Amino acid sequence: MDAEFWWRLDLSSPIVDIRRMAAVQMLLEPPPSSAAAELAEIVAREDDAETKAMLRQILDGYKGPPADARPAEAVPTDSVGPWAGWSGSPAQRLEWLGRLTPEKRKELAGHAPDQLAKERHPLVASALIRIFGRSWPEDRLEALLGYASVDSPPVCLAALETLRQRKHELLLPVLPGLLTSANPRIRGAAVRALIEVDREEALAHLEALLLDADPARRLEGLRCCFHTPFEDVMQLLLKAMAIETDARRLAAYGMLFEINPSLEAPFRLYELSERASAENAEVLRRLVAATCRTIGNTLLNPADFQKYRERLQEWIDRRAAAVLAQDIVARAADGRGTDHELTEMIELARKRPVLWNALQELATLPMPPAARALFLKTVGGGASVSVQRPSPVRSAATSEGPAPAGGKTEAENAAPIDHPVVEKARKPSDLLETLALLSPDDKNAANREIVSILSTINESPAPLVAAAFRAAVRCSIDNQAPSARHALNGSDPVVVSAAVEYLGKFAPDDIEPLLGRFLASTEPRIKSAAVRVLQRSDPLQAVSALKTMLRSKHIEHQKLGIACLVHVEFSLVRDALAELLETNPPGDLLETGLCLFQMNPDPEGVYRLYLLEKRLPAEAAGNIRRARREMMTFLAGSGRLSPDLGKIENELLERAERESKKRAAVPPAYAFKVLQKSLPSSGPVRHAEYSETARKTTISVAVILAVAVFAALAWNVVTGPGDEAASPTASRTALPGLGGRLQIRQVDGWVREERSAADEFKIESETGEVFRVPCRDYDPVPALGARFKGALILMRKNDDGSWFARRAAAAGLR
Amino acid sequence: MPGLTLTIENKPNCIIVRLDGYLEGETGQQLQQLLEGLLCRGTRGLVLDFAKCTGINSLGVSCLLEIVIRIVEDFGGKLVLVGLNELQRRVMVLSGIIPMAISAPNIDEACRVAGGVDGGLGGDR
Repeated sequence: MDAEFWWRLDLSSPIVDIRRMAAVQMLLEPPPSSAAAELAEIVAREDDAETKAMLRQILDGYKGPPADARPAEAVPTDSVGPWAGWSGSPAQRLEWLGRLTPEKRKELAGHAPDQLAKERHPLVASALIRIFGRSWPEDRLEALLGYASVDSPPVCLAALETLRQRKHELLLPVLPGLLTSANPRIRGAAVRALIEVDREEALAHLEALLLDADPARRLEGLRCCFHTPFEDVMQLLLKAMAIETDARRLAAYGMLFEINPSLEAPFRLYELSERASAENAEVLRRLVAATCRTIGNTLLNPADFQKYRERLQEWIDRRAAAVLAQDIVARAADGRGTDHELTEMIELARKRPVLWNALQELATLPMPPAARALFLKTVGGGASVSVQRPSPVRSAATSEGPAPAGGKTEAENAAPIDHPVVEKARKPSDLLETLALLSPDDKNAANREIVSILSTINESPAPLVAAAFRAAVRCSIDNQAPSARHALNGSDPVVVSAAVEYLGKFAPDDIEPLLGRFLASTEPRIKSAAVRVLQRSDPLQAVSALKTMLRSKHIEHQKLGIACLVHVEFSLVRDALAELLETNPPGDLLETGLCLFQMNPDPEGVYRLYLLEKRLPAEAAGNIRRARREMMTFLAGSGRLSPDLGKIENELLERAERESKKRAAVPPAYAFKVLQKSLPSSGPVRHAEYSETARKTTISVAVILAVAVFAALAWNVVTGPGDEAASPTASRTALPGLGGRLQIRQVDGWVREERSAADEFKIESETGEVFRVPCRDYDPVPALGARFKGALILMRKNDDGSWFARRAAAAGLR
Repeated sequence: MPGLTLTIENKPNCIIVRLDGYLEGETGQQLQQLLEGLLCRGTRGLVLDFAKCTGINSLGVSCLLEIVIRIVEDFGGKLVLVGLNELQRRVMVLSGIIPMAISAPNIDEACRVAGGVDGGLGGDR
C-alpha cells in the first residue's frame, strides 16, 4: 500500500467512524496536494457531515496561500521565548504541547488565550484549551465562551468542559444551543454543565437523553449518570431500562445499580423483569441478585439483610398478585373475560398463600363493575375455580373444565366442527381445553393439535383457531406463519389478535409493517395485541402510541388506551394517565386509572395521586386520598417510604408548592420545556410510516452503531456492554449485517511478534489482550516492539484466548 | 457505609496507592487530594490497587474520572489500575477511565507500566 495514501482505504470504509478517524488524522497530517483531486471526489460522495467538513477543510488548505501564511496552519509568531518550539505542522505543535511539564504549563498559561486566538486548527485549539484549561487566566475565561459554540466538536467540548470546571455560570447564554446539539457528546457535556446550574432541569434533559430513540444519545445519557448522585438518576435509569430491547445495553445500565446500593433498586428491577423479553428478564433477575449482594455487603448487617430479603420475597409474591389482578382488569376491559389460561393462573396463585391473600386484598380495590364481576368470578367469594389438569393430549375429553359463569363457553357458541381433521367425537370445549392446557413441554402433541386445526383454518371455529395460535405461541410452534398471515384478514377480533401475537413472536418482519393498522383498531383485543407486540419490539413506540390514545378527545379511545397500559412500564405512562385523570373523566375511567396507580405502587405515584387529589372535586378526591394513603402504608411497610407518614405529607405539600411556583415563573432559556421542540429528532416514527421504517432499519442500524462507535472512540470506551464489554480495550460495536457479532475495536498496544508461520503479526494491547492480524493488512508490517494504534475488526477468538482480527479498513468492509 | 483507608507504598519508579474499603463521593475526594499532593511533589507514575476495595459507586467513579484526566492530561503522567474485579473493570471501561488509565493484571506489571516502560510509535498510522 502506498504509505502516503493510506487514507484511501479508510475513507472508502462503509463505517462512518473509520472515515471520521481518517479525516481527523488527515487534518493533523494533510496528504500532499497531488491528492487534492481524488480527495475532492471523495468529499463529493461522502454523506457524513462531520467527515465531509473535515475533508473540506483539508481541501480548502490546498486552495489558499502557502501553508506557512495560512491562518489554519499559522505558526506562532512568538518563535523565541517560552513559546519557542511552538512551530511546524499541527501534529508537531500537538507533540510540543504534550511534552510540556506541569511547571511549564503554568508558566505559559498566561499566553495561552493569545495563542488560541491565533490558532485555526481545531484539534490544536482543542488541545490548547484542555492543556491550559485549569490555569487559564481568570479574567480571560469569558473568551472561551465563543469556542463553546463553534461547529468543531473537539473545540466546543474542550471549552465547555473548561468553563464547567472553572466558571460554569458563564455558560448560561450558550447552554440552550448546546443542550439541543445534534452531537450526543456535546449534549451530554451540556447536561453535565447544567447540573452545576439547575439540577432539576438537568435531570429533565438527562431523562430526554436516556429515553432517546438513538442508542448513541442513550449511551451519552448513561455516562452523565456517573456524575450525578444515584438517587437522583435511579428512576430515570429504570425508565431507560424499560424501553431497552438490547440485553447488552441493559446490562450496562445495570452496572450503575450494581455499584450503587439502594434498598429500592431490587424491587424496581424485579418489576421491570415482569414485562421484559426472556433475554432481558434474565439480565434483570441477575441484576436483582447482584443488587441484593451489594446491599448485603454495604448497607445492612446480616440480620437486617435476612429480614430485607424476606420482605423482598413477600413483595415479589404480592407483585405477582398485582400482575394477575391487572390481567383480570384488562380482560374485563377488552372483553376477553375468563378462559382456561386465567383459570390455570388462578389455580397456581391459590397454592402460594402470600400471593393468594394479596390477590384477595386487591379484589377490594375500587374498580369498574365489569372488572369487579370478573374478580368475584375468578378470585372472590370463595367461588371454586379449581380445575383438574388433564393430559394435554387426546384424553382431554375426559376432563371437567371450569364452567364460565356466563353460561356457554366461547367454543360452545361457535359453529359445529365438521371437517375431517378434528374428530367429531371431541367436543369443541374439550378441544379448547386441550389447547389451553398445552405447555412448552408438550411440543410434539401441541404441534399435532395445532396443525390439525390450522390446516383447515377456514372451516375451524374462530375460538378454536385463536386458541390454536395462542397455544402455538406458548409451545413455540413456529411453523404457522402462513396461517397467521391468512388469519389477519379475518373479521373475528379474537382470531386476528391471536394471529397478531403469533406473528409478533415468530415473524415480526411480517407484522411490524402492519402494526399501525392494528393499533388503530377499535377492537380492544386487536389493539391490545398490537400494543403487546410493539412493546416487545419497540417499547418507546408502544409508550408513544399509548400516550396518543390517552390524549385523545374521544372517551372510547381513552378507554382503549387505559386498557392497554398494563402492557408497558407504568412509570413511562404515569404522567399521561394522571393528565387524563385530571380531566375528571367518567367514573369507570377514573376507577380504572386509580386501580392502575395502586397496582404499581411507588413514591412518585404517591405524589401524582396527591396532585390529583388537589385538582379533582370532593368525591373523586376522597377516593384518591384513600387510595394514596393505602399506597403510602404499603410502601412504608415494604421499606420504600419513610414510616413517618406525617413527614411524607409535609414533603408532598412542599414539593407541590415548589413546582407550582416554578410553573408560574417564566422558565429559563435552558429549561427542558422551552427547548423540547428544538431537540434533535430521533423520536418514535408514526405507525403509518412503519413499513418505511422497517425498510430503513438496516441502514439506520449501521449509522447508529457507527455514531456510537465514534462516541466510544472519542471516549475510548466500550459501547456494548456484556461479557465482551468487560474486555478492557477501547471501542467496539456489533455489525448485524455482517454475521451479527463482528466487532470493531480501537486497539492501543505493542507489536509482540513480527511475522508468525501463519503470516500474522501479534499485538498485545495495553490491557493485556492479544490480537493476531494478517500481515497483508499492513504495508509495511509494524516493527517488533513498535507502538500500535489501530482499528481492528475482531473476526474470531482463538483457542489460546487471543483474537484473530483484521484491519478494519481492509476487512472486506469496503 | 464502610469508609476507605488509603495506604501508600513507594517504588523506584512509581507510587502504589492501596484502597481498602468503599470508594464513593466523599472518599473519592480524599483520594483526589492525596493524589493531587503526590502529583505536585513530582510523582508521575501512579498505581491504584483495588484488591481490597469493596465497592465503588457512581460518584466514586466520577472522582476517579477527574483523577485520571488530571494525571494523564494535566500532568502527562500514567495511572495504572490493578486488582479490579470484573464489575469494577467493566465500570471503568464504560465510564471511559480505561484506557486513559491502564489496567494491569498484577502489581509487578502495573509498576512496570507506570514506571514508563513503553515502546515507540507504530501501528496503524
